[in-house]
Amino acid sequence: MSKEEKEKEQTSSEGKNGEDQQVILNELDENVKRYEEIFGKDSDLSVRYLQSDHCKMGILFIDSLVEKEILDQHVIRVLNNQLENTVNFDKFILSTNKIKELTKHEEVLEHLLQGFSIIFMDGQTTAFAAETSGGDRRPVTESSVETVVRGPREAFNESIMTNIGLIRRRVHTPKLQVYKKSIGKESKTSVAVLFIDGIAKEKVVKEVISRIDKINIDGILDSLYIEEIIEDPKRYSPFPTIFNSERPDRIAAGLLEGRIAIVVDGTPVALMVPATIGLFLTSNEDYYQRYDISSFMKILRGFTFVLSIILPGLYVALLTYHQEMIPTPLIIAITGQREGVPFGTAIEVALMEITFEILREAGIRLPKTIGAAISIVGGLVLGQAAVDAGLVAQGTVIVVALTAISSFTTPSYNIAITARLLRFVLLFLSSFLGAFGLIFGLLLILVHLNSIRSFGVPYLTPIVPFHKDDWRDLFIRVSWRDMKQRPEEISNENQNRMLKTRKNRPINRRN
Amino acid sequence: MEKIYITKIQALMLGITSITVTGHLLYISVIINHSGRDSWIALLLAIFPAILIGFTVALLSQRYQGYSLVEYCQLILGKALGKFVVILFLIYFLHEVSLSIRGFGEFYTSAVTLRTPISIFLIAILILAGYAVRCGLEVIARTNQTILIMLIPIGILASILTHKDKDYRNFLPILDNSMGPVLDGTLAITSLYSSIFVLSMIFPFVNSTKQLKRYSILTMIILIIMFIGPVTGVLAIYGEERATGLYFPTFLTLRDIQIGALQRLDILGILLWSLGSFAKVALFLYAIVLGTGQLFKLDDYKVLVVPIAALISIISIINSEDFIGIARFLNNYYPYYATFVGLILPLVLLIISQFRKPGGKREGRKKDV
Repeated sequence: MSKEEKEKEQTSSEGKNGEDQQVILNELDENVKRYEEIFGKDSDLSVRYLQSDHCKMGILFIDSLVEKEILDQHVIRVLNNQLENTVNFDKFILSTNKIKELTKHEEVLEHLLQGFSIIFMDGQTTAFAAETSGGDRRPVTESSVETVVRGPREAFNESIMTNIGLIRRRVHTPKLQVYKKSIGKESKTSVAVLFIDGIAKEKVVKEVISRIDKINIDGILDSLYIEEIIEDPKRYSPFPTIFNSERPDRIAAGLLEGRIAIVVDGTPVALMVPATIGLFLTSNEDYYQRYDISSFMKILRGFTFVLSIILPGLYVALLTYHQEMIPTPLIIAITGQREGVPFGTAIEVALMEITFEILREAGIRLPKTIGAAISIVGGLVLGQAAVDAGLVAQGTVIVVALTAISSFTTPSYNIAITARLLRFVLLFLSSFLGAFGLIFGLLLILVHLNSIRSFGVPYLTPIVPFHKDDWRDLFIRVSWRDMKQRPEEISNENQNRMLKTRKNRPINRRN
Repeated sequence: MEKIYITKIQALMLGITSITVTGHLLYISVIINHSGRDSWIALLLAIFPAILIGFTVALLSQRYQGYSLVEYCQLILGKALGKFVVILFLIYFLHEVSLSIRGFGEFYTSAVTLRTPISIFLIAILILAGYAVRCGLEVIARTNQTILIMLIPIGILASILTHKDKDYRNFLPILDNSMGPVLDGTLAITSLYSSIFVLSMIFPFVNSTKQLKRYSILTMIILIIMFIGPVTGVLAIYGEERATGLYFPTFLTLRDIQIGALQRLDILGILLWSLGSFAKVALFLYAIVLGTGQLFKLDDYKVLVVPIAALISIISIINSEDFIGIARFLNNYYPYYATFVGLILPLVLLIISQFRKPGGKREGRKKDV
């Protein structure tokens, strides 16, 4: 069909409606031909024709995006049964869960790419789209990154609908609002903003939505794309200001505190804002284990997080500038070990730290089957050999190993990365200025931490600005009985999460 | 630009840190030099002038709500004279902060890292302070709050850990040299506390000035309490004769701490004074920069941060050739000079403002902070 004819066809079928709007054509074969041209002759676009004496129709679908069973059972079979009986085909006989009537060419394309099957009829300019999307996706499994001993196991998978469902299944309230949008000129990725109306701050919700609306990108393959685009714009910060998790219970807990979740199709990692430093240092298991042990773990984790930042720097500062602080027997032992080591302590530590980073990176990239072998080579052979060869002292190996182990206790991977980077900065500073350099670096970090905000919420709340009630869930966790309020800066005025609880009376055993 | 405010408590916390730090590091020896073993009496007597200082600062800021020192000076004294007095104040702030970072640098170079040039420490601390000032008052106040939460437990811990060496018989006999030296000591402490007048630059940004007087007087009393430990501690450990000659007596007492095998906890002192000095320098730098900006009606005061920080480092070096000169200045002239600028002048301002029409209230500040 030539161009002129095409235009003629359009104007004849649509009448006055704009010339540039491409509409569905009258002839079935022309329609099919048009889409085959668009997708290429031998693509995964499939056509199934149905024909009877008085009716001819074609079902277009993209093979890789549809659930075959649904298509067979609910579209093709139903239509086949009805084909003989009816002259005028009614869309309600289709038994798929969504049916749409399409008139425009653009709409057809869009729906095809979302996994809909499009039913064209000969001699009609409307087509029907039946929801048949599906195809293989990873099932909901246990998260391999965020593991727990006690508590729900489910983790998100790559399907946005499953993920929203997992959240909804935990928060059964109509107040849970979902704002869905597709982002990406080419990828058309679905992104959903979830929040609980009446708990989340409206101002923040609006801000999140407006920042997401502003995104103009060709494609989004992971939630990190969104994270980096919508982050607070002020300056560079090594600290993450947007939390992520792949556990629906974690996200649901955040929603109940008044946070806002962003779920992205195609990735199991959901985002959550506003995020404060306490959130990053909290594991979800803190809320599922008894509160005494949780408090202990929280304190321990805070300590190890600090340790994972400062330990190499502190070691270098002490050994290079402040030997007098180390107890005499220990300094003699350390000096004894270091005998024959040609490098300064700072270089030695830096060398080991970098070696460790290499090992760590290799550990991630390696195929799982070789991983064990490499850990032996890397950990034992390299460590032991380095000491024996007089490259590094044993003390340094201990310090680097302790730092490494400490950094793995941090529950949130993206703040552990921060610690990994800052460690080198502090190492550098303290190798120049000793303890003062270390403190200089820490002060710089502190000033920086005080200056950043996550969607308007100061990063260090509730330490500063001070909120007494929120300390119940910071370094310690009090019993759930006493967690009566939501975090102050995060939720709106609706602060109470628990009304007055009845006190449990002890059962008197004599009665 | 968003409206920035801090709370009363944050503002006063800034005052506490900035006074305590220089006080503990540099000024304990001055007090002891003046009043010897009766220093604690001098300290107790200083409650009265201290309260007067707190009262003056708070009342002036309450009377001219929303106006900083630079602005209300000109309202009280008129344009020309006001500007002259403002310049006097700004120079005082500049001098005060330069003395304090010089003291901090000298402390490092004479007690901790002997061969590092002093300018390294001056520049390092000014970089930090400059960074904080560029981040704004809110950040300074918050950082200080975090710091103070850490400092106070460390200070109390240090005071407890040094307790084993203390011998309170060193205070006897009381008032052996009559009241003269005690009053000298009181004047010295007053001059130290006078520098809290710098808060008049940040009180306009406090969210509510209700009960400001009560709070600031309470602050002064807290300050007195915070000085009891170091003043008596040093004397109780070293006795009058040895304590009078020491430059950094508090640091020396820290060095004597011994917990099991751990000894020479220099790093504790380094931590205390680095954090504190940072807060003090940041506060003063902010005050000077903002004051200069307001004096010359600049739109953006932040451009002044780097030049003024550079100026401070230069002044602190040319203050004196060595630390002995600084100590001598602190001993002999500082008490009169700082008391005059930090207490007498504000009092005069207060009295004059009593007879002038009240300056009116300004509804919050919308200027860039």
